[in-house]
Amino acid sequence: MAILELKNVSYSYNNLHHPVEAIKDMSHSFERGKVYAIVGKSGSGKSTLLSLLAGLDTPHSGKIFFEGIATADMDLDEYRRTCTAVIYQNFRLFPLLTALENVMYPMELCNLKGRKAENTAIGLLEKVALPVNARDRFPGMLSGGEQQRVAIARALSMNRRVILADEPTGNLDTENGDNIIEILINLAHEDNYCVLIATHDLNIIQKTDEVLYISDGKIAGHE
Amino acid sequence: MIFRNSVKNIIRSGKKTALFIILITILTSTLCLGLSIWISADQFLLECNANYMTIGLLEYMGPEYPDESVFDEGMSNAISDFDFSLISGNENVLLWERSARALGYIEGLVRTDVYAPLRESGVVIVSNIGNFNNYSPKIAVIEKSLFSTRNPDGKMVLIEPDGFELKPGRSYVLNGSFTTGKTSYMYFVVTPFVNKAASNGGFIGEDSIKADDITGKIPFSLSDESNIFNKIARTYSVINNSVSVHSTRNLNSLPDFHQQRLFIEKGRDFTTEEYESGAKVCIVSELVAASLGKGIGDSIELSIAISEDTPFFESYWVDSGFTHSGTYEITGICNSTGKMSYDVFIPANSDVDFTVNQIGYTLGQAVIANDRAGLFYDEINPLLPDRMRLTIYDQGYASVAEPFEKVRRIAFIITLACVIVSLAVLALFGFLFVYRQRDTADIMIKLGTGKRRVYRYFLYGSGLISLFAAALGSAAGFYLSGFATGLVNSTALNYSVSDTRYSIGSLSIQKPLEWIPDIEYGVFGLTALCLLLVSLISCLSFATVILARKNKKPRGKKRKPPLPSVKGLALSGISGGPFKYSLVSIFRGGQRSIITICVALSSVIFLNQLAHTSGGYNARLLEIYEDSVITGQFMDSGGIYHNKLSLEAFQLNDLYNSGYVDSLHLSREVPYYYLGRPDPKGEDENPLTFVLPKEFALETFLDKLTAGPKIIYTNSISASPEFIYSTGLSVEYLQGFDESFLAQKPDGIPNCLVSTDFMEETGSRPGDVIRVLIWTYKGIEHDMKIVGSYVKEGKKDNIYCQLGVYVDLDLLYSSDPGANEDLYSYYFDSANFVISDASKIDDFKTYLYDYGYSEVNNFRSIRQFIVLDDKSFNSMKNGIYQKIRHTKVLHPFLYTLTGIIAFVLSYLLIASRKKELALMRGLGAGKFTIFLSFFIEQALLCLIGCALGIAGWTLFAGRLDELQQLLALGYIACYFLGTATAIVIMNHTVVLSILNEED
Ligand SMILES: Nc1ncnc2c1ncn2[C@@H]1O[C@H](COP(=O)(O)OP(=O)(O)O)[C@@H](O)[C@H]1O
Ligand SMILES: [Mg+2]
Repeated sequence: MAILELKNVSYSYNNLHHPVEAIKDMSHSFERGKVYAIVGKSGSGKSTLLSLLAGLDTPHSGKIFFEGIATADMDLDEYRRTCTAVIYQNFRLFPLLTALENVMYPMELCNLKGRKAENTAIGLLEKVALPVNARDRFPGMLSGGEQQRVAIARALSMNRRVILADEPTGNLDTENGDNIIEILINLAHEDNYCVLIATHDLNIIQKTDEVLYISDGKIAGHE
Repeated sequence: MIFRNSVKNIIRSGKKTALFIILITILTSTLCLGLSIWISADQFLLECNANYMTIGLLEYMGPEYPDESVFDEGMSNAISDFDFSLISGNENVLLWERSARALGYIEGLVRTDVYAPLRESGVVIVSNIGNFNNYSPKIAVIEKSLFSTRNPDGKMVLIEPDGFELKPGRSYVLNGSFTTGKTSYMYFVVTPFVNKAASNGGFIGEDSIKADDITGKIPFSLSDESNIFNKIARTYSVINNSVSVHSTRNLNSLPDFHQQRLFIEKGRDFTTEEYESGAKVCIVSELVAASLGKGIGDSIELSIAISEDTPFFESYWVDSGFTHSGTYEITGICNSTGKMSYDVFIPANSDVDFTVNQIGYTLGQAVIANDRAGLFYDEINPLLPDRMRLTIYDQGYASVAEPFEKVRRIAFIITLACVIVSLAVLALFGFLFVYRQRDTADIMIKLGTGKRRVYRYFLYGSGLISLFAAALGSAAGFYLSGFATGLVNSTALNYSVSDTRYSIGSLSIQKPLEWIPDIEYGVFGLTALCLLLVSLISCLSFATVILARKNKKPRGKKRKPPLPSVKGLALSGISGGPFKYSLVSIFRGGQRSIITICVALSSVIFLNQLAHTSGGYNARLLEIYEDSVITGQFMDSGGIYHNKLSLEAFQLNDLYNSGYVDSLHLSREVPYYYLGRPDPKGEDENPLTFVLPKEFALETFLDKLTAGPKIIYTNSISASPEFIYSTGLSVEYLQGFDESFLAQKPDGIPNCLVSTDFMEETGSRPGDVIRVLIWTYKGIEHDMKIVGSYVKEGKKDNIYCQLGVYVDLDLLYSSDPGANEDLYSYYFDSANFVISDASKIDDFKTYLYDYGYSEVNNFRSIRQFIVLDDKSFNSMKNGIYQKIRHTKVLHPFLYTLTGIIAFVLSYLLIASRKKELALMRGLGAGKFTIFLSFFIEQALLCLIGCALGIAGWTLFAGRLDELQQLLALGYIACYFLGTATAIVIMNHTVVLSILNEED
């Protein structure tokens, strides 16, 4: 069964003078254990799609189902806490929290605290292969690749099953980018995550299980 | 394109834009109002300055004050000892001028008015001497008068020869004066000729010149110019027809012109050139012009006689002649009033030095910068020697201008505060709208957009915001200006510096001048333009900064400063969630946290300081009330203090019982004639009774008596007219006596003080009983015991005697209303008092006002004039009041401003962290969690700052009063509100786009 399903989803940015229809009547389903590439020109609606899937807003028409339940019927805060996780191109870490604390933050939101949370977080950081001495550093003192690892580790906390990565390698050099993609693919294939990666990197596209071409807010095709 | 993008950009950042529009609008309108009121008040003050003149009148309060005809040696000494450059060199003085008057003589002027100085004098030739009765007066026929205003030739005259033997059958020339007797006869009293100019110049000797036997020499002596009586007559003629010449460098600064007792009726004042060159022009009194038959443009032959250290009417002597003569053109004619009817005013000329002879008790007047009269007074007054008195006459400037000075100052401070805040806000504006968007600039440059277009991109948008806001602000200011000027006017009208009734500070006439609010609407446009320009400059500079940065290095490394190691911050013990997050943010926030704390700390200290100053002023005011000694005096209608006032005893009784005054000092003068010392054993060989002369001789006797020394019944010698302005009173008391005996009830023979000169002359000693004759409708013998001697400062050997001898003290002070009737027949010649409680001075003034006492320049039902010496009290009180008033207008403004700043600052601090907030949302944090995460942090920082501020303040000042607590709470409330508003607003935004935005 699909873990995520889009049914006729449309979304537009309601700017005062300039409403933009970013997603138009889109339908698709995503499954666990697979890596999806979302490909499209800039402005085609990739980020908007991922954001909707992440529960940052609800579609203006149509529905998104998570494990069969419409997101509109859920508490979106809780949905974001427990169901999906986003990895951004710019990492988006709390600048005043250490790597470890950044990973622990979502746990604390879910009332997982103290030693237990810390141990879990350390485990996650080990999983993404963050050097041990980097754990207690602030994001500002980490390299881009390290920051993105921390972001992935954070995404893995609270055992969220869907990982939405929005151009995760955009700000990284090739080597680091490859490592990150590897981690993400392993998560899908080995740990049964559902991973969506928005990208235009051909290297990445080749490694994914399914590719969705998006153009002008519509799915233009998939293979 | 650029323009559209720019506008789009503005609209996307809607809240920030709205916030700045509101801020700039408020600032513009406040600035417009502040500025326009400031300008308007300033213009009004300029107008006041042009309309009013303030002078400081320096007088010598000699014992004979205000008699202008005497020469006062004490004054002469005081003048040579006093350094007038203290006044002329004072920075607040625009012009200092010593009083410059002299006796003048105009060819052809004959005076017949009642003020002609020698109306009664005469030099006459008499013959046909006969006895009138057995007593001293002789009867004679006036053959010829060498000088007289009475046309007495050929008439019978009774002569009081003053010891000169007039023999029948002989002819005499006599010097003396006419008096009007009870019969139709003329009565002529022979007196010795006195003329200081003549004696100082050695023209007459020690021997008295009063009469000469000229039998057989009549035709010669008349025409013989060298004859002394001929000279006396010619001198008299000049003096009697003399005018008073005033030389000045500013006619309007002369007290009489300044107080508008004199004014130019026809013609004009002197021109600046005439003043500067000391031109031969003059302004004459109406009566001078009339009796000469001259008008504007005509010339007069004016001669001036200046003789060192002489009384006014003795400064001419025919042999000494005039010091100066010249032809003067009449440019103006002023009114004639009372003694000021025969006066001539000329521009000061360095050729003629008037100051060698001081005429009258006015030492001079200083023209003072209107707005600094108080300063001047406070600086000069303490430097003045004994008996010198400085009085400020401001024509009502203070009461008209002072409120507007306050308005101007407050408007200025508000304007200044607005300017500072505006600069800060506009800098922030540029920072947020340009610098914060440097990435956009990066992209534009990368995309190959020209620099000029990038500039335009930023300037269009921000320019539009500031243009809109500034225009809105100036329009709002425009519509509010009517309201604001109304407010200013009503505050100014209700603004009374202090109760100036009966004040020595308001002796001056009061010229009215009305403020017509004249708002310069150009100011509004200009202000808006300035704000617009500054905002553009701010944006432009930030744009330049980012573009310059771009040139140097391409997008650099991470801009985060190194952060402290986390190891030191043991936070793991704290349970997770918002509270932990807040603490982490506080401890790791670095500068951000410190700034918040510092702002809170300094704001609280600033607010405390403001509140403290207003509290301090109240305390200071109480101190002034406590320390001030305010005296009051009864004066004449011109505000002149003297001892011939006829004050009714029953009114003084009421004053005494009003409860407002302490130490009421009274004096009553009665002329006395010294008889001698009665034998203590009662076995006088000389009974010391005095046979009063009869009829004419009695009149002469009484005339002499009246002009002679007085018994002064008083309860204080130091507060009596002779000594009140002096600190040099020295009295030697008999064992067991001090000044208080004067206020005590007499017991047996009354006690008295006599002058040392009196003791020497009469050979009496302390302890002696003296007998005098006093005249109250009949002669009464009066015994007194000398219990002390004083060194006299006046000319007369007055005897100071217990007040209780004149009036029953129980009756005088009785609080029984029935006592008034018994007091009806009692009068006092002078009275002064000390106000018992300075804080009740306004009530006291109301009492005086309701009772009907008059003020100088303001007559009321009782023609008795009270002047309270509250000048320095008022200036101190006003100083404090002014500050208290400031605090009432200015402080609320500053409080509000601080509150607004707290609100805006906290709002912006949160708004600048929208990414962090959006990320929390993205991670699924609930709104309340987010609210707490930020709010707790900001609240704690604010509270820490406030607590530090309060602690610091309490440490320094000792305590925190209610207002200060309230202000701290207010600050906290504003800060919390700003924080909460920002979080709530951001919690309601869709974070989707924020998270998708590129950095
Ligand atoms: N905050 C926003 N307001 C208005 N339009 C937006 C906003 N964010 C994105 N868009 C528009 O929505 C469309 C989809 O954008 P996005 O999802 O960011 O595309 P991509 O991530 O593929 O580049 C684009 O046309 C973009 O201009
Ligand atoms: Mg995108």
